[in-house]
Amino acid sequence: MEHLLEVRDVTKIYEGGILANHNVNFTVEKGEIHALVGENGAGKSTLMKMLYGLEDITSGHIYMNGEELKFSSSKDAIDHGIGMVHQHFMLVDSLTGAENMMLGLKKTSFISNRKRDIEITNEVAKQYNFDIDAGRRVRDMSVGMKQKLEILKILYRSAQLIILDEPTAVLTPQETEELFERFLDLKKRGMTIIFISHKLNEVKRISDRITVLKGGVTKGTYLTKDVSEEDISNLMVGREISFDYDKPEVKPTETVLKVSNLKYVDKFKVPKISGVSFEVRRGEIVGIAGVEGNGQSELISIITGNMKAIDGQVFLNGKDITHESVGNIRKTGMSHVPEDRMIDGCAPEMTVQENLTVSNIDTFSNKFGMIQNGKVKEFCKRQIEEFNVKTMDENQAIGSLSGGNIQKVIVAREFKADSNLLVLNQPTRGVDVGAISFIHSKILEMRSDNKAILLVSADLNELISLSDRILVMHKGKIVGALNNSPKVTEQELGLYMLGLKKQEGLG
Amino acid sequence: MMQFFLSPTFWKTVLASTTPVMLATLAANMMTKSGIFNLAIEGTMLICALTGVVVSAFTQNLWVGCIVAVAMGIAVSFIFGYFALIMKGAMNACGVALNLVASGGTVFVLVMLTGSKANSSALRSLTFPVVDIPILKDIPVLGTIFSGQNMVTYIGWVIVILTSWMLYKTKLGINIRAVGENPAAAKAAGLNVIFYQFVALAICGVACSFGGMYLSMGALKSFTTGMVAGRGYMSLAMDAMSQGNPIVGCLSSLLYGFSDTITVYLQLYSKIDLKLIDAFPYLFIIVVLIIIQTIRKTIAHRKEKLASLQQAS
Repeated sequence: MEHLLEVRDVTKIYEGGILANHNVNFTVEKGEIHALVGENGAGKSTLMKMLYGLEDITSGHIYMNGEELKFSSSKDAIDHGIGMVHQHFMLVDSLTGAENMMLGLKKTSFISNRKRDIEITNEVAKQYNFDIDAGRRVRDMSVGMKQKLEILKILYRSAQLIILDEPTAVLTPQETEELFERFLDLKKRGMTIIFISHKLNEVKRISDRITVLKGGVTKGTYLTKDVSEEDISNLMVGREISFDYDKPEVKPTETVLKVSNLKYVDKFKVPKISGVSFEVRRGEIVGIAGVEGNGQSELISIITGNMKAIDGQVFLNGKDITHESVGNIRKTGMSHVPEDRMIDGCAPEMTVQENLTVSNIDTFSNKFGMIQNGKVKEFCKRQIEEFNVKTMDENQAIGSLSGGNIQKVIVAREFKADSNLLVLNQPTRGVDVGAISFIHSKILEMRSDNKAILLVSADLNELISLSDRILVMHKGKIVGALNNSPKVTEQELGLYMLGLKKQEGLG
Repeated sequence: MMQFFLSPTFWKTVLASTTPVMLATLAANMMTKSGIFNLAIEGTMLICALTGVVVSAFTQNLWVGCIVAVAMGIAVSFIFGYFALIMKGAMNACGVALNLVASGGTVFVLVMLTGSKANSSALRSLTFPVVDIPILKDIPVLGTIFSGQNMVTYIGWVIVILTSWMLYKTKLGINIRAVGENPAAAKAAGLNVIFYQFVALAICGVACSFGGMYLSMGALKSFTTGMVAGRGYMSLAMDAMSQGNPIVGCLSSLLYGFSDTITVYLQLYSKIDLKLIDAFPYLFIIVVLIIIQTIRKTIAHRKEKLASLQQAS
């Protein structure tokens, strides 16, 4: 049988040498719903961007109906009958649904005919059983209606293949259910759908076949009816490299961080954190695991004072810091290694020295408030040596260092601050292996120094090898609190992360 | 003393002094709608004001002068577009640079041609005629106010009406608005973002050129150094008030015309210090802006509250 789409040996290397896809192979048959699953960073989105002409292909081939595709822009993809619904809607808010529907089409008249546009849109909507209000402005539409409008836009441009990038991430369960009915209906009409998701129950429910991506490589394509959710989960998270550290025995003492019944709702009224409570004590590392977007980054932003909770409290050293400013929270005794080192972690244009001392520059001033440069230099030299930062000298701009060395500078600054709690958000993301093990050893050193450490990481192996306890977040709740001795397995964490397993009675 | 409010001549003057700001505001509206921040409206007006005077003086043909000035307006806007959109320069820096070129360059050209640094009275330039509208001119009060305005004022009204029709009723307008509001979405729908921004820049150039020509070939009979006098910057405030809508922009520039005219009358009838009176239009507009913004915020706040109440129930 002829494949509708064939992806053969596709490799994508981004500038800077990041390998996003490596010899990816899979085929999509006409009229099927094909699910593409994988963890964050597994290369799903990159693959789809190449299919849609938004990214170049480094090597390999993509064939559609036997003809090789060479796209230079998304316009080419649209012309070949490929449509994509992005995670962020590509709609113009102040225009009506009908106007968005007609946007960019050649066949419309110069003077826009509101009535006719609405009629056509309603007709297309009726034809596919979509219920939308074509005369309404997009900014007044619900998320579900916007999504349906996006899909209609693609259908109206006579697509044969629809790519949906996590379409249910922003929908309510009812909206999701309705959307799935429409998908199954579209399938009956011979439409082909590629469905990207990491919600396995949804994948299991509507797809015909599943392709699993892990670390940029295809792990295989399976018939949905032949595999269970557990099987898919194992394929997604299994890993080969592992770090094994000898952790010294440290007995946790008093509580440093206490979070009680924290709640947060984002501006689209979607609950992101629904009643999270936990404690971190001196001398222990508490890890937080979870598939991205399940409330971890919001939780960290609230604890560090960058966002305000709508309900609940955060206590640091017994003091309520829920409504304190970031500056006051740091003074109370919190260090924070942020998720995005280039945006929140450092000032890329400034020197290593300035970045190292930005939070404690006051301590280098004499009684007239002048900064004593000699002392600053000496401090920086010591840190650069201790943390093994590869830089010409302390006056080099930090942005010109490699990712691992930038991270080491940030870690040095935060670890040297006089604080009881270290909040580490993805401390080794995108960092080379040497720097990873160095940072890990420093984290364990801090643990021996009796600091309380809260560690958020997408790297399960890192969590398992460092943490004393692991909390798993799913849909804004802690669904598992696991004691990490003996070590939990990635497979078990995976079950909690994907919501297949739950402990009752947790916050 | 305040009885001048009742005189039709007062309101006629209001309409007249509104004209240049109305055209500048239209230019600013187009920029907002297409997602461009163009500070160079001021400078573009100044260059066009001089171009119209010089070309009409040398050719002794009003319409040749007018067409060359319009072409100049479009050219200056395209230069801005080249630097800001194609070379991706900082828009505010490009705008300021063009304004500096305009204020220095116009004086340079003026001195070259007339030897005077102050004005172009040495050139025998032409002006746009005053137009009496038949029938309307015979109606009392209304005739005095609306008839007998300079031709550019009428051209300005036509441009405003045409532009707002274009923006809201044609495919071109919808595409321009889409490009300005969400370039990523416009691109995904297959629109050429830069193309539509240049269309908007061309319209901006046309509006600026008539605004400039009104000053040097309508309100006055010659070009005077720096004669735009901040009207291009005022238009940015008017644009903010109207949120890009040309009809609302036209109405809000009436506010400027009104306060500007009051200033003239106050200078005649009151004993307040002249310098203070000169500042009046600007203070007036700041106050109006604050009031409008407060009202807008209250409404938005109320809406949000309503929405969250609905969510809760």
